[in-house]
Amino acid sequence: MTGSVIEARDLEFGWTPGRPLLRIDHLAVGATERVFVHGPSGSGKSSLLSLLAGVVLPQRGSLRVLGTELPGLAGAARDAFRADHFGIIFQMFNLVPYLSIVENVTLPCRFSERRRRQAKARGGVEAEARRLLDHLDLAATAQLPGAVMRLSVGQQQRVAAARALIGRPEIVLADEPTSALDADRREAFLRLLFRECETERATLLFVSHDRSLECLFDRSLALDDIGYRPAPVNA
Amino acid sequence: MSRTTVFVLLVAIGLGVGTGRGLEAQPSKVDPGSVQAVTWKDLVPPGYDPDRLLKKYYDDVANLSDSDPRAQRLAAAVRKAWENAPVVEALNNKMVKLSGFLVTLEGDGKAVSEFLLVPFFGACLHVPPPPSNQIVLVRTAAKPFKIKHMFETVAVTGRLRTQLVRNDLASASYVMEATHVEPQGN
Amino acid sequence: MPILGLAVKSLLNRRLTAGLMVASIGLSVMLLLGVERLRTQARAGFANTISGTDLVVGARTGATALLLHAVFRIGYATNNVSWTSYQDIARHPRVRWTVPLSLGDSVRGFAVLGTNQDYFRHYKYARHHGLEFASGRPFDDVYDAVLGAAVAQELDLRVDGSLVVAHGAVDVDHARHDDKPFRVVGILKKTGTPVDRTVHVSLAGLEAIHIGWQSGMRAPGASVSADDARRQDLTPRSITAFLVGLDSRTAVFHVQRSVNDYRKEPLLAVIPGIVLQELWDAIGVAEQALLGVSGLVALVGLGGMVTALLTGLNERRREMAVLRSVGARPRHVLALIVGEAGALAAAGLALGVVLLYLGLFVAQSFIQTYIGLAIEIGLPSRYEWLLLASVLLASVMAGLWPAIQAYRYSLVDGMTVHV
Repeated sequence: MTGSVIEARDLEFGWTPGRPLLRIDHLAVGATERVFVHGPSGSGKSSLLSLLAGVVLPQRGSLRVLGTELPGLAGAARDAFRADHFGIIFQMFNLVPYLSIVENVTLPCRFSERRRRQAKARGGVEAEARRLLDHLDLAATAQLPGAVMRLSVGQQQRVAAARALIGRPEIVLADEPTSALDADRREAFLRLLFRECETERATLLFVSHDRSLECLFDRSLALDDIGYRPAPVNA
Repeated sequence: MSRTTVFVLLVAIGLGVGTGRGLEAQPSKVDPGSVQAVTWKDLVPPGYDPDRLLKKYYDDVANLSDSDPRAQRLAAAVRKAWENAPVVEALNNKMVKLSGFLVTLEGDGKAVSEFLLVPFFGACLHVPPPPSNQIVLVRTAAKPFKIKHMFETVAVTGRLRTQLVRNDLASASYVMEATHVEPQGN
Repeated sequence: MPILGLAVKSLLNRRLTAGLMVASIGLSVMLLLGVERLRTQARAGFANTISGTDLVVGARTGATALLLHAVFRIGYATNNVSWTSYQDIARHPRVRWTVPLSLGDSVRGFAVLGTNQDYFRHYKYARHHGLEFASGRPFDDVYDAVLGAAVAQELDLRVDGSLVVAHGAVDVDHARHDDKPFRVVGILKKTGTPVDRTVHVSLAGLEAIHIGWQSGMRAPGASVSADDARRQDLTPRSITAFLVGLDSRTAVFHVQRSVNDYRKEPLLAVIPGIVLQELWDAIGVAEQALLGVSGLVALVGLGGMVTALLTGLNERRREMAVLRSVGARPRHVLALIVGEAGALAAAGLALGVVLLYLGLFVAQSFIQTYIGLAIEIGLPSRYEWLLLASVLLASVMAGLWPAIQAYRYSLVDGMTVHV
């Protein structure tokens, strides 16, 4: 389907060969879509993100991201591809403890020439980092030196979001980013994230088990829907 | 002088001269302007026989003990003769290359700037010192030679001079300004 | 280089552990370089103390003991050389000059050397360098003294000052020849050899102060005034040793043999260069062992670094996963760990060199005071640069082990969160 940033067909993946964890008959995500992916624990949500980001390869099937067939790329090429086109937010421990807040945000620009250029074009890599932090309500905190680890979880997640967005990657993958936040903070974080994704015209894939957030998204996918089949018990 | 001492003396001489003889079958040609490889034998003028004195008295000497004054006089006479052994004037100012054992005289602990080159190992220990025409004073002050251990075998290339010694006996000795010193393996 | 920057920041975050590793490597580098330095400097110092002397002759003790005592003032003489034997040898046709030496007394810890004016003419050090006067002149009168540079400085004496010689090596009140003080007439320039720490007097002067001291103590009622002593026959009956210069250096073996075979008194003639070389050869084994130990210490330091890096890896898997997620390739992870090892080693090397120079400055004054040798403190030699480079290389290679481990982890873990 033209216009899809992500398109998967007949995808099959398992950590152990012969025991497939994920089976996807067909999945298509369009540009700037905000997709909510849910499923029970152990259903392979994180594995799906690893697949999409090119960290692991499917045993079978086709996976096209931004027109490129990922399984056709060698490991180093996939790493480069991920650096250029993906921004990733984890549930926790997103940040590198020995780097400052700004240094954490500019990390992707160290590894992706494309993103570095994009950020520079906006007025400098560091300036761009501060701008994003400002948009995520972290302007004051960013000035403070000192351990990144002394930030609250909510602050850490927002720094991670800034890092995921710097240099305008096309796709943002978020793996349960709000699960460690207080309930009242979750919605606020999401609104900030949505706003930035919209400004940068990024596609967002948001994995979570918290169905209460589902309504905020354009689209919702249950791993059952896209062809989830659990591994047989006595394999 | 006891038989054993005389025997040792003769062996020493034999070793010294024999080593020189063994190294080269023909006499070395004089080649002006280039380096001439010399042997220890070349440093001895033809016709000079260092053990002449010993041969003369060998039978008498065999029955003498070391402390007998006649044995001592003979030893002194031999020593005196060897101390003032004649040199080969033709080698004066020639560029030569000579191999031998290195005996340190001056150095700074790492490199040697002045040393004596002698024909056989242990030249100063248990056997009498070689005749003075079998000892070469080598100066390497311009490029001191890094020494690894005592009595290294080296091949020295440089300008050989016969230096007149300032004393009544008008004897001379060999001195060399070395341009090149190379160790000779084992 | 972005990875190196990360490596340095990562180490700064673990300041305590990193600091310990740097200290450990630094100490071992200091040891490695220091052993080598002191070795070469000590050799140079000894070798530079005497030059241009063909033979040193003394009583038949041992070659090393004779040289150490006569030239370096280390140790004690067990026997002397009679004056007649000395005259005999000096008359040998190949001998061009001699310098008699008489040791045994001291002035406030400094050795007193009895000799004659030939000493100032013929004694050379450090490649034919002669003795020079900073002020004054050689001795002339019986009670004249010439001081080495360090003696003059430490005792704060100048020309025309006076000093009192003590009997024996230790300066105590009852052993002083205080009825016959000496007058300083000359002070020598600094030589960097034991000469600096010596008080030079004439042989006659030494004889004069020992009149009445034959038993080793001042004989009661036998005191002779300084002036009366002048009038007596002050030819010494024996000396400790003497230096010999020949008309030709190639004659050295023959003259040495003559002296060793001298029938009237058991004497020993040694060739200084050979004795020193023998000394180095003998010590060489110990030096190699010391170097070997230092090398092992360096290995231990590196081992500690590798251990610290390896054990820290498990906690850092999260950090690696984050780096992978922002686009780091596995080789970047490898480079990060190797970079940390290299940075630690580089810091350790720098610390080691600093410690080395500090240590050398301390050792320099110590060695100068107790042995009288000057230790040079110069820039690192080519050998030392090579040593430093190989330690750096070894650290980087040692860092490969944890680096490859981290590389494998990053491949396996990918982006998976290990919470």
